[in-house]
Amino acid sequence: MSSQLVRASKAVKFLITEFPPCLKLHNVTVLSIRWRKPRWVPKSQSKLFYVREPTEILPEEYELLKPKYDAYRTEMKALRYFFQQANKAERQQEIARTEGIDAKKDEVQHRKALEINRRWNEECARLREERLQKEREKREEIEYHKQLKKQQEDQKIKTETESFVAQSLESSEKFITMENLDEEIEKLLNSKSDYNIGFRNKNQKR
Amino acid sequence: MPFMKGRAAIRRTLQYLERGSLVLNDSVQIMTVNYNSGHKASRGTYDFIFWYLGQVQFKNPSVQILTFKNMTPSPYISFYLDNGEKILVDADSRDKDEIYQHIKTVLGKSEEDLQKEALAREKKANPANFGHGYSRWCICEIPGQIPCPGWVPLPKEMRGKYNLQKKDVEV
Repeated sequence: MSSQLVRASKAVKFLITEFPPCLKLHNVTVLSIRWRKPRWVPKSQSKLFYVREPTEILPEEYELLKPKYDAYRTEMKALRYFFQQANKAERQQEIARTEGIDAKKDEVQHRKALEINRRWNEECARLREERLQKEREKREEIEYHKQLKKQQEDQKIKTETESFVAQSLESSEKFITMENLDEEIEKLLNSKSDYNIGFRNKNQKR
Repeated sequence: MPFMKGRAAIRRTLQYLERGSLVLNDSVQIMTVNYNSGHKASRGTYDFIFWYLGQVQFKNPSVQILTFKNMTPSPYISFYLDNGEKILVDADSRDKDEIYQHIKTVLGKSEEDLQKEALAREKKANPANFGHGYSRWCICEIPGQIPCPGWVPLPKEMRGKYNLQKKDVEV
């Protein structure tokens, strides 16, 4: 038996997409493969010495039929080619037509989308400005309060120092200087103090 | 059986991912999200990333999605299209759902487009097919067809041994 010629259909055992044109016959891919057995396995015993009986070709029949077959095949080839070309042209026309429409539709949709986005971005910008304004105001308020507090602190220190200075000035009049020394000593010597006093506080009971 | 690990682990479940409804246009190649941490105005963007990014990537496996933290004063999302165009979507002080809906309106495929694509996929996937990549490998697995000769021998009229080699076979 000669090698099996297999029409490659979708049920091939491994994924083939496109076979080279040399394997194609009438636009049909023809493979000579033993599917079940690997290449190195020898031919099966039953098929080893098989010799095919040649098909009987009667010369008169052949002479009559050959031109008819030739005519038939030429016509079929021509029809096939014609339909192929017609289909191809139609497909290309359809693609060109829909491409134009699709592209236009896409363009219009894209512009609409950009417009929507622009409005959204404007709204976002407005929100951001509000937020930043609020933050600015908050910062300013904090600064203001800080300044105020600092001023108050400064004022407090100032008044304290002023009162301290006034007190010192007041008490400095009572200081004992070199000029007053003699007088003050006289005063002290002439005065009499009584140390016989109670040690209890005002509110303590006896 | 312990709980799934991680915060909001539901985001990593298949059911959650399949429920994503944002399918970006074919023209979108890259999506970039810029946001800040600990920033009130970035809260919506952060939530968007937290809840929806997984879904978006699941539904758009060929789109490159990147996130950048703390590199911008104001959060935004930008899309780079295949014609070189860049679309900027401001996200300052916006809620995650608002952002999601807006992106869907601007750059998402419409419902009808998605339905058309689903229909096309169904047509391609003819349940009657068998072979490589389908549920049934051989025609003998299909009910109503001749069973596999590996299991049940063919009748002798269908065997080459009987027909062509004219050998004696049983059944």
